[in-house]
Amino acid sequence: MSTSGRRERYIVYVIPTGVILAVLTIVPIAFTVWLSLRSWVLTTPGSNRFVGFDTYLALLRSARFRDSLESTVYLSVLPITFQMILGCSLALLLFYAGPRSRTLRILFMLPSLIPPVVVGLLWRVLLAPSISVVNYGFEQVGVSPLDWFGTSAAARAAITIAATWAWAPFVMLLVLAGLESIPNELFEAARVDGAQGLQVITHIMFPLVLPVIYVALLFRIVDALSVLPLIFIMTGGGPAGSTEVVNYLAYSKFTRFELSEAAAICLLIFVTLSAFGLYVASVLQRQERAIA
Amino acid sequence: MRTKIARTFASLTLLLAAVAAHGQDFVNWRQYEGTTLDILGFNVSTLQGVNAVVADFEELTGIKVVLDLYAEGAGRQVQAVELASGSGAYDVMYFIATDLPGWAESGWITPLESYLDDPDATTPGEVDFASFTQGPLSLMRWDDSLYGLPAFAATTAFYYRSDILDQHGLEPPATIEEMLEVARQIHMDPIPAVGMRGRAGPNLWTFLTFLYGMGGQIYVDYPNDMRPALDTAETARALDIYGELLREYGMPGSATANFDEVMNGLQQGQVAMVIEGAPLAVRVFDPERSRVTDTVALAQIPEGPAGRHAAYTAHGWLIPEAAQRKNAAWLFIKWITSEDVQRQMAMDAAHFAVTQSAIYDDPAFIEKYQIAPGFLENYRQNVDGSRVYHPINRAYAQVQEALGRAVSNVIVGNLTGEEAARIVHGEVDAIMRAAGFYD
Repeated sequence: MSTSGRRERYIVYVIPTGVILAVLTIVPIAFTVWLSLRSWVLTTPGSNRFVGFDTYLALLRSARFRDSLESTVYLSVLPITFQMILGCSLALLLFYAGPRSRTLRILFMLPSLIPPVVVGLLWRVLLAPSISVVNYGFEQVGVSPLDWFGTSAAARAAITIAATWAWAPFVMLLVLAGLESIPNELFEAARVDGAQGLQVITHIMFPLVLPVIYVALLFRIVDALSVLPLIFIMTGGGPAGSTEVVNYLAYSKFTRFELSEAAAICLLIFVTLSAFGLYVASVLQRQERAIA
Repeated sequence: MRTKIARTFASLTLLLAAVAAHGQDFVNWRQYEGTTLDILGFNVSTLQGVNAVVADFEELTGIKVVLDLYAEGAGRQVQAVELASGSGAYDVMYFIATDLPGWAESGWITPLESYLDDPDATTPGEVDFASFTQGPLSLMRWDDSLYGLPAFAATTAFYYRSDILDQHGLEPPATIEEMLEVARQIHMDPIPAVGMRGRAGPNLWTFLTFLYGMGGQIYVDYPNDMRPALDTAETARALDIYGELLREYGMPGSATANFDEVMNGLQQGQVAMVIEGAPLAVRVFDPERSRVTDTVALAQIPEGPAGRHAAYTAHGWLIPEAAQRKNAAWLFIKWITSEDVQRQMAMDAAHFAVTQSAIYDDPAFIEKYQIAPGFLENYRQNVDGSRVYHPINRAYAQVQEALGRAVSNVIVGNLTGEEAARIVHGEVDAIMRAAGFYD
């Protein structure tokens, strides 16, 4: 077949994919950009007019948006830190336990199989002021019960606990897979060279598993903003907006039909996460090149 | 079987009453026989008995009804999307009065005057506005047009544990300041003193009682001057009192509590004084759902220096502008809000927040719902006036959210009443300006 014939076939194969991609991704993004440059509140007649970047500027000046950024930082950094620490620790535990730990692996994985809305309901009940099992446990050991949804700090702690419980197993699973992919020869060589437990972890396992940890971290950071179902169920963004992360704010704006502001927030989230994703991808590439 | 006969009898009575009153000049209820009506409703107490009466409507008119009942929050979103898109998917919608102004000004819903004036749609005198409780009816109007007929009228009640107040030798508080004092004296002896909504947004249902009671207002002169009037000492004092009641003497979880948490707390005997929706009294006095039926009592909402301001709102039925079968929809609306049908729904289910005044005088209704001496009389008085509780307008949802956040910030102690009043005044000013109320 001639080169031009191959090119025609190539185009025929690519066009449907291109159209689907355009319809499903580019068109919605373009529409969101268009929406964000207007001042459209669905229930306010005449509000659908072009205002340029005024919506963005108003957002950046808004105390509520700044507060939601602060909440986002809290409710991303804290849960992810705990998820990474707990996930890596569990992976290490299961790795050393070997095949005997099969039941434990299944048990540890269970929380990650539960839909986020159910996780939210579960923890809402566990921490609910009047029937809190956790508070009952506190009382049994002489600790004062906590009003989990009554103060900003306690509500953030509640979300952190629920998110860590739900998603640490995901980190555990990835890191465990990474650990199990390390060739046995490396461990044997390390043993021959006299390396002990902690030395094996820091000099063999950690460097080789680091790319997997980066991937897990990337997934968790991107996914941290999907903590919305937990917040929706457990705190409703309160008290006083202390658990209102940016995507919950966007959701609130949509439900109030403030379409342009919601679109602007969504785009800011999209750009931030895309930039972060590209950064992590470049770090991973550098790592792979270094290993190669 | 007996219920079925009673319902059929009620429908026939409605029909015959129209005939008797107006000779042959009556509406043919079967003129849209064979039509299908798509109706959107909510899973709320008013509509507990709706499926049963809808069968009667189908029998009376030959119209088939497809009823979609949503949870309230989800339903309101579906509603707005359907109305905004002009899909015409629904012929009738149940709605909450605070949503009406934006929809009316956007031209999404149908004014009902033309149906009232059309002899093929309404028998003269058949829809008697004087028979409705006037507060809810006034909330169905916007810009001198009628957009809905009311089906539900809600107000608030003051619930208290008589055993706990007796134990302390106290009377139920008559004023807001007394409520604060009583809360100080009884808190944690043996249970938390106060239960009210703290969650931003829903908390306005009860907070406005305190704002108006202390002499504050949201707007300078609603609806003539829509500039905010929140940066005042009265607003600050109302915020401080509401914040102190829930922060210092509230049940655990008050800062994020909505009506369900508050009422569950009361029903489970975990809080001593509650201001919440009066229609929820049926839950509190139901022995199968409540532990406090013998110890809970009802009193008037505490008043402030500027008077007593129990909450009130209304739900109703409307016809979307894009509806496909508006004439049949009108038959449904006037039928389901009629006195006989409302009485039937109230007697069949646990729902007494009716909007036809005469039902409040019905002996069977009184026997079923006179939960405490004077309860129904107070209820009717609270929903029958023309006072403004929710100063609704097209930007009210945003204003509710901003003011609700201010209340929440004072509850958790992030802001003082004075700081919160100043901040929310600026926020409401920006909202009203953006909504085009003034430059």
